[in-house]
Amino acid sequence: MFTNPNSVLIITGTAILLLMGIGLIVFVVTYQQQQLKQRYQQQKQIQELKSEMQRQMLESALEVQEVERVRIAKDLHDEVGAMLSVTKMSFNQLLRKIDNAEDLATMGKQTRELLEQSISQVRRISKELVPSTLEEFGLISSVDEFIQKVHLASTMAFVFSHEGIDIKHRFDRKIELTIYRLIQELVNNALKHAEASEITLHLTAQSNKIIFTFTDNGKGFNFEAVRNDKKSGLGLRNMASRLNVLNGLIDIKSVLGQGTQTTIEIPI
Amino acid sequence: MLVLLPIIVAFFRRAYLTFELRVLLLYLLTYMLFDISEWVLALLRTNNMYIHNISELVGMLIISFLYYRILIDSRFKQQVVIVLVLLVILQNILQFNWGELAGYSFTLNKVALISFVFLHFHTIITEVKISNILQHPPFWISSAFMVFSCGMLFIYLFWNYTLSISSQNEIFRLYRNIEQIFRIVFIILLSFGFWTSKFTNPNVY
Repeated sequence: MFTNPNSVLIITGTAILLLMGIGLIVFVVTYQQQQLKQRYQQQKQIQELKSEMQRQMLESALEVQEVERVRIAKDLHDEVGAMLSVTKMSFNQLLRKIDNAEDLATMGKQTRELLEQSISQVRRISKELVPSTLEEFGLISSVDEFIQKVHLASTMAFVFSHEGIDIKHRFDRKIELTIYRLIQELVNNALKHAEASEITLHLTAQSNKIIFTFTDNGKGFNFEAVRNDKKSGLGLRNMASRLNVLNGLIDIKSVLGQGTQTTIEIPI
Repeated sequence: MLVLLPIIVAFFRRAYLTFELRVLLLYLLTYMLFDISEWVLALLRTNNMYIHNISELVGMLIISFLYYRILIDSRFKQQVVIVLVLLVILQNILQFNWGELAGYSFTLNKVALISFVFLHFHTIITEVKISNILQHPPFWISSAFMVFSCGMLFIYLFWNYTLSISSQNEIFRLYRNIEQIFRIVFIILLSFGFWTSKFTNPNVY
């Protein structure tokens, strides 16, 4: 039966055609999967490019913000501050001339005190806008100075320790500024929202990264709820944005009634 | 009665059946009805070849409609389906045989089916919409038609020698068995198509 030439022809033809059909099916499967993989990789690349672009835009926005702060601080210090100083001098002269009138002298002294307060506030705001200590002396000094200010303004206990960094150690300007702003934000949160009475800040520099751990004994918060809340999650999002620019990581552990621990890692 | 297998699978997957899979189910039900009537006529020792030929034409019309739907994104491909189905209708009517297998019509039907599958596979590899092709019912449907059509094309082309009334008994039995083997593979692949309907996105073809 199989030796019959017709059967041989038909079975051979059938076998060849069948093999071609199965080959086509296998080809479609492998080629389609390959195409899919390629497309997935392309999409991944596009996504990465988009993320990089967003990161760069964010970096530019933060830079613009800092430049604007510098400008405002300079204007406050050089123009408003100078004007107030001149006004104070002029007022002093006026006071000397009206020494005899007792009531006027009292009022004048009060006004001079107000002027002095205005001048010191302008200086303070100007200094807060641009951390000049950070620019001039580096991270450790500026954090020390910031802690002193916190001590002056509140009764909070603030423990600051560092390892792998000495007082003269300098990092990239962006990294220093980011860490400083993050500490400002974290302290602000601990004072304003957590009502903490004790803060611990530990800063460690390793060969490839800076790690800092910020702990407070405040009332804690529900991390997920705050993160998803558009209004109250703004501070968290700001911190995350700043870290995103430096490819940094943030880990927040908070227990209601037991305080919050924030660990931040920034590659250097 | 092997055709019951995909019908049972389709029953279990009824919640996931897309319009196209329902059309395929209609094809299988039609095929089953024709098969039963062929069996009844065979038991009555009456000619049933014309039923077989009508069943093939009706089946082709349903499958053509199925591919017309599957290839909905390409007007050109749909036009190719229409042209091929018109040729199939013409051939099946003109060469209709009451007492013998319409072998040449069957051959053209298989060529048309292979063409439909080519068009569908072309769509699959050019559009790259399916995330997992092995869980994509139309792929299994096309694979089923591809294997069956490729396997049977030569056998139907030489029907005079293989499956004709005048064929030698041994030869006829051999090719009839080969046809049954391909049909079993065809039915299993279609069942798999119904089975995978649960895992796929019905909007992607």
